[in-house]
Amino acid sequence: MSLEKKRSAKGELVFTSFLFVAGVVVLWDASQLPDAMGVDFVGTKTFPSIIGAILVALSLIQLISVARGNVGEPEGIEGGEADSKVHFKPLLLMLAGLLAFAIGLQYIGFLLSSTILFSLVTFALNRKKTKWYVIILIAAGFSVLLYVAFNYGLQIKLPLGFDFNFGSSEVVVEEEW
Amino acid sequence: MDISNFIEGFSNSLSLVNLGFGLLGSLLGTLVGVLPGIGPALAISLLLPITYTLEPQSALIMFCAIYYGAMFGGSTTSILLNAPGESGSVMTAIEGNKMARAGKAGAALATAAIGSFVAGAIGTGILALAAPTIADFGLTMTPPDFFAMMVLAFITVSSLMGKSITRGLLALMVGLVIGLVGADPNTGAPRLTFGSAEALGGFSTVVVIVSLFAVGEALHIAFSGHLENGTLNKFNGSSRMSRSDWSRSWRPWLRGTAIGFPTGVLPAGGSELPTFLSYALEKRLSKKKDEFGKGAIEGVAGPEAANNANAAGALVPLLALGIPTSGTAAVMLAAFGQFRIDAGPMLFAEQPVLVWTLIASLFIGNLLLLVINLPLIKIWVQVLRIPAHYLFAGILVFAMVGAFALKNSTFDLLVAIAIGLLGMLLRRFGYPITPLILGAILGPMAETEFRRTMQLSQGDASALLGTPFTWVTYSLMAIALLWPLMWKLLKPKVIKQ
Repeated sequence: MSLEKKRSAKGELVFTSFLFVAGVVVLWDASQLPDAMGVDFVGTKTFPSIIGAILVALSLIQLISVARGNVGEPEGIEGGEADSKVHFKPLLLMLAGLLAFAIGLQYIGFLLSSTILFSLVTFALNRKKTKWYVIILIAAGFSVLLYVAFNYGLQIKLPLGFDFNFGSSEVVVEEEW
Repeated sequence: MDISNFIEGFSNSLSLVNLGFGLLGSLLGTLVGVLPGIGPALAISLLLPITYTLEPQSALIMFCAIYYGAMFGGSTTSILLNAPGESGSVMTAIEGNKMARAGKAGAALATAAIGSFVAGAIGTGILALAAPTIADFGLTMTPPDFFAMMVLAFITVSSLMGKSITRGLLALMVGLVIGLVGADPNTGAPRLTFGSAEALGGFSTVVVIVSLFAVGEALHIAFSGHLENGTLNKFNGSSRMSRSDWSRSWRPWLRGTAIGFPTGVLPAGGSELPTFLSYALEKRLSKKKDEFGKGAIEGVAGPEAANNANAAGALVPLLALGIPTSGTAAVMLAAFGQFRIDAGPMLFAEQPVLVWTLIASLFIGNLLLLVINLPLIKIWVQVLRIPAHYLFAGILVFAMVGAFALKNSTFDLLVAIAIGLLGMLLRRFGYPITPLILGAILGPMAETEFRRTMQLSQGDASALLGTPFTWVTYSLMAIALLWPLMWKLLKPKVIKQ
């Protein structure tokens, strides 16, 4: 238990240091801004500098506080339960899904990338042994529904991808599975 | 109150289109209220990109109905599942779930719904009476006054939310930094863009909110816990109250309203504080103290009225001054911005019909919600049977589509993932999210007021304290900073007993 706490304190120290560095970056960035005194009484640097300075000061206070044992308590989970251990595999699965969607959207189109995102998120969060093809089927169904709703209902065009001028991409989806 | 505009607004709100959007918003609001993990702030921000083409009036009616509806729906989950459907229903779960286990689910649901209705009706009434007066006052406010109000909102929300003031303030600063990104409003100098042309326009509010709530929450669940569809309490489908239930409920409803409304007007950060206060008060006043913790109806009636009155109260500073006091109100402010409508003192002068239609729709929506939540409650119970992992998968896809559809930009999607990861880390280390949202949305506006003040005073910083109003505001801020000390002393006592 104490080992677990130590580890989480370490993580929080890293995170708080990151906030500190972010504050320094804000201050540095503000100092690079061109000064437009005369036109503007405040100048471009003032506001960002204040924010950067407060961020630096607060993160320093927090660093000391965390180092002295004031470890943050993770936010509770609505509709579920918190575990004492952290899970890297589901986290990475979900991040992979998100990245695949972000990068894939313009190349492989909405239907495929949405199916991938939906499936990976479900794999990450599902604890029951739902068969993988059931999940992918639901994911694909949801994606098609959403595409139709956006395209025809809301008139928002989502990219279909595969801009190679051969047939419609619905066919491509069927080939995939 | 402006009678002729009110009448025009009322007849406007009865048009088929507006009634339809009010009903849709009520249904959606109840839905997100019932579903654990999704609140009104996320629901509204998910809808922002796809309501771009709607009439502003219709969209805003729908958003207000979602805000009210979520407060209605949250109680259902608290009572039947012992998991709050919404952060304003945490207190309801304590007594409500005990009542349900004792076979009194119907009475608990009824007192929650009727209490929500009573509080919503009274709250909206006060809103209609008070908001125009406050807006008139707002017209006389100067830039330093507005700046002081915004700083007050920042500080109080940061110190009232969460368990540690430094964490709250740090979350706020991160939000302010996110608000900084993009071109300097006066000179166009690039701030924190690191040479990226796409960052020059700043991060879209929608992308920031959607990624913090949807992506951040889902990543947090995956990393730190697991989902569980809890077991539902038995409920025979009829929500009725006995005579003694009524006589035990009506005073808590009114007291809950009296606590919830003012704490909504003041920047207290949402419905958590008022529901807690209401619960504590009912417990103290109750003649049957031993029933508390075993299913006392007062403990459901009070907090449920408080969270609805709180939503109505939050609309007062939002409409009249353009100052959000909760996360959901901040998102609503962004919604006004999307339609290029300035919420604030000028709103009542420039868009009287819009404002009164909105307020009239709140009355109608409140009535619709009572109907949706009382006889139709069985339908909402079914929603709780949807496996939560599919729900989150759907929300994430929807969130990413929303982030993309705004500008058809892959850059926005990458920003969403980065901010989502940040949201996960904040949750992991016990940082509250609301101050961040407030900082990101209100920060740029605060900067504008700050610059106006300095411009008017020709660079003299003492102008920031130049009016009596600013003194009052900064004094209130000092009190708010001391409040968490009192909160710490209060909370363990109530929870233990």
